[in-house]
Amino acid sequence: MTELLKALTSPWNFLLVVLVFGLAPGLCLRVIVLAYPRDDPRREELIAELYGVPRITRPLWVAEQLEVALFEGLAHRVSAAIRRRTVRRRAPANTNRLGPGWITVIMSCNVMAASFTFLLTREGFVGETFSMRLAVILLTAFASAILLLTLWRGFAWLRGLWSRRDRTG
Amino acid sequence: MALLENPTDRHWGYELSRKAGVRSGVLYPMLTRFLDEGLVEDGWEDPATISGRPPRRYYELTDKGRMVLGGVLEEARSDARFTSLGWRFA
Repeated sequence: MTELLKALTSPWNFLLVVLVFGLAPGLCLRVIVLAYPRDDPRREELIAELYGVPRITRPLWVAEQLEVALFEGLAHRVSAAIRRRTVRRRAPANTNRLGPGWITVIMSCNVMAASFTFLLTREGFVGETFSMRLAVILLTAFASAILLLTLWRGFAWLRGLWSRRDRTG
Repeated sequence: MALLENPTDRHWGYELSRKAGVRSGVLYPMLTRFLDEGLVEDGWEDPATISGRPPRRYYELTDKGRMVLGGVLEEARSDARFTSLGWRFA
């Protein structure tokens, strides 16, 4: 009996009760509703409904909402993502016909690496013909420029470059 | 049935789940389907009339909804399998 009374009056238990029945349901619900798309009215609806739920049943009610959010909200999001992807695939060719920017970057890196390798492993490079040296240097400079520009501006500039080319061509 | 208890009133999600005795996992998808089919319409409480909490979303039966759900209820009433249920609705 004394232990029970001690447990009831313990400040830690009081804090735990405040956390579980006061703070946690609201916080958890706000995280749960993020499963719904941003413009879905269910987000605000569930948060507003929480205020009408008795405190004692709030933790269970919030746990129920996790189920609803997973099956309604996530399903919505997944179907929207699939729809977006399908639309993008069916879009006209002027969007990004030559593929994503990262492929170009990787290829540029490869070209640059190959050029350097060629430069370093060629015995007596200094003695090669002028045109060969010039070609290697230009190739290396071009690849380096693409790589640096991509690092500086991000991949968007490559996509913009391709789409501009498609529009004008 | 919970919607038809007061067919012209506004209903809230939590209140409906308590009256109907169904969990939110069943009720909210059902309400979404009713909205898509035009059986109910939704709206938001006027923030000026409430204090201390955000406005709630309410559901109201449309004329079509009253007719369709009333028909379903009538059909269920005449079905021998549901006679043991207490019909309290208009």
